[in-house]
Amino acid sequence: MESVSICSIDCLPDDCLIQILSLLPTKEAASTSLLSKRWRTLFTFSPNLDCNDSIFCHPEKSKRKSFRHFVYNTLANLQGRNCIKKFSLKFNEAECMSKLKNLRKGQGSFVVDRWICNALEHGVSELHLRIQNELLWPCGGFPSEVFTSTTLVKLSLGTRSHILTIPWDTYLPALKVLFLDSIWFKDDKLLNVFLVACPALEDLTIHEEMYRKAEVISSKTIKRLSVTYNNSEYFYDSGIISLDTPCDGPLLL
Amino acid sequence: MSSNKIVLTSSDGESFEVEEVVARKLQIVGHMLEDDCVINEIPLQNVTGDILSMVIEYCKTHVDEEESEEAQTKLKTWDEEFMKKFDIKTLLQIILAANYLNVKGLLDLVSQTIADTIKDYTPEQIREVFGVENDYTEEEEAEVRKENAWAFDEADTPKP
Repeated sequence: MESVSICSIDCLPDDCLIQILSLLPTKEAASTSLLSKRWRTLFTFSPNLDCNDSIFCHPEKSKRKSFRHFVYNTLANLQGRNCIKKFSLKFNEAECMSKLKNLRKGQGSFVVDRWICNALEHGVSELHLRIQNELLWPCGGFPSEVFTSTTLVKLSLGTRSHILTIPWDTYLPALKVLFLDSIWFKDDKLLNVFLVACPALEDLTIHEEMYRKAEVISSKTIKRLSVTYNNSEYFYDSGIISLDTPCDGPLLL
Repeated sequence: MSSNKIVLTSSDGESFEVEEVVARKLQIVGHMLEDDCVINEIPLQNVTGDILSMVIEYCKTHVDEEESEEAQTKLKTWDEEFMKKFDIKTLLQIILAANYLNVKGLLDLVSQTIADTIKDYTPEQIREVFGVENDYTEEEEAEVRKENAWAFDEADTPKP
């Protein structure tokens, strides 16, 4: 029997192609719409949205407009078909405002917050946010809905040394993996509010640029904990995070 | 019981004798075994011997997936080296086989490898490397460019 040789990616079924596209940042995935008629809408079936402000604040108006239109459509169409699994967003308001002179303070954040809430409403399970706002919202840059999601399994939050106040009703019952990059909590809220509100948390990673004050991390469920510092010089001074977990898995410090 | 051997036969008649635990990594085989437990030779119509042997190599390596971080890192390194052996054409055949045989880990791995390749290419390059034929008219192509303007960098835009 002669073996059938395939040389084209077009021999793959749609499911495989959508899986490949879901592993690309949204911009690269969308650029495949140009390949051929078959590819024109394939990328819109990806359950992941991964965007950053380089498009959001693109100096060309037509690009900004078409991008917002795309995100709006994607989030609006979610009910109709497959759900959204992962939503990643990088947004720096100050940078955006320096690029777009007519962007009013808070305007960009308003749009971005609406997207995040939309994704949460549709049961997103992975949320990765690196957000820096000009205005300090009550939650230090993140809409409060982020802290009360019942569907989130993975969450990463990054700002640049913002002091995060979190809502009193914070509760993330499904959250298993949490990554905090340079986030400082007011009044030890990480310990006595945040971690308490994550009853299923298994994996906690904390990254700091520099020094972090002594803290006891207390959780009954954590299996893996990793604390890293950008500046290793500080490590010796600040290796004072002590643990109070019954975990027997590997702890990385 | 687990040392039970099963023979997998490819579309071009090549036979591979593997342990049942390895064969079960191919979910299509797992389902067949559940339906009828006396099979010990399974013909696989849609995959050739050379590709099947690679799928089996993957399944053998991943047969006991240990939880420990050390084991995971070792497997990851093995996966990377394994993927380096293949050209695009072979990768496409493997992904097609992994999809048909339902080997989820391998499907994920090859998808990631292909995605990593696509990421750095312009649409033109993707067409060339992955054999996609452009069936747009000029007007249609311009329309798509406008529709998803945000996704294209100046470098991808042809000079008028």
